Amino acid sequence: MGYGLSTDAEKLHTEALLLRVNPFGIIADDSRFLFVTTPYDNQKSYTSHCISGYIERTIPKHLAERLYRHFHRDYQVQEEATGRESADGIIEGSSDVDHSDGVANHVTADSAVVLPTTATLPGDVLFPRSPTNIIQDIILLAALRTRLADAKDLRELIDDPPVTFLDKRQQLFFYRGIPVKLHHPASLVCRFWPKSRNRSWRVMKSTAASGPAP
Amino acid sequence: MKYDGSNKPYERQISDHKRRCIAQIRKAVAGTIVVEPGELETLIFTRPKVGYMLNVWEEEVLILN
Repeated sequence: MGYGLSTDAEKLHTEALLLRVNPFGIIADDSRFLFVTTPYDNQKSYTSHCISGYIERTIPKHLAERLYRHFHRDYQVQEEATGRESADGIIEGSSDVDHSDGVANHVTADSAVVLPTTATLPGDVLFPRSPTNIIQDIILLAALRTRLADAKDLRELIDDPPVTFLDKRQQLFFYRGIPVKLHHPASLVCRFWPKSRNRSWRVMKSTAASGPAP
Repeated sequence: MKYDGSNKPYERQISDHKRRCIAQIRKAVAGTIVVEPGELETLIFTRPKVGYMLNVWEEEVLILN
């Protein structure tokens, strides 16, 4: 899923201004800039525009990197994995001076830092994936969690889903891939414990809050 | 209150809770997947004086903590 990054500076500038005054789903980070944190696609797209097109050229480098990591959770992981920087990233001046009043012409060739824009966002992950791959990859797991609540069929996200699937954190339960809205999901979810050395999983009424069944 | 041991409200609560869970699952999957007769009834076992047992193989359960 692409975010359609625009190169239109005027549009980016307008969006950045809108971002700073829009009170919906926004938190303050540096007392000067406001960042959208809502997980909806349109908001992420909106934020991507601002990060890649305007804000990173008007704020100090360290703040731009912090902002980038805030919206690209997997950035640091991928950077460590690849050990290189993307060539088609964002060029950012290295000065820590406040550039909030400036425009996008502070970049110098000897102090440029390249930030990748092609890092895989959780929303960009393609599903379905195998359960083993998802569990072993925190990025896939995070992407899965963001989509579980709206999933109509678990097979859209997981290849060959298990008979019963529980997300304890979001209190979601799926039976044969179909979401089931339990009246008290927590009472069911929190009471599943693995029974060791047995083929079944036991739900203990008396030890539900203390730990696995013996 | 019967003190002869026949009055077991907690055991009844367990059975009621199991029945409610099964009913909610049945309602959710209605019209989406084919459920074999007795499939849901055997999904959760009630073990008297012990609790519940989810009657599926371990590899058929996936839990995200």
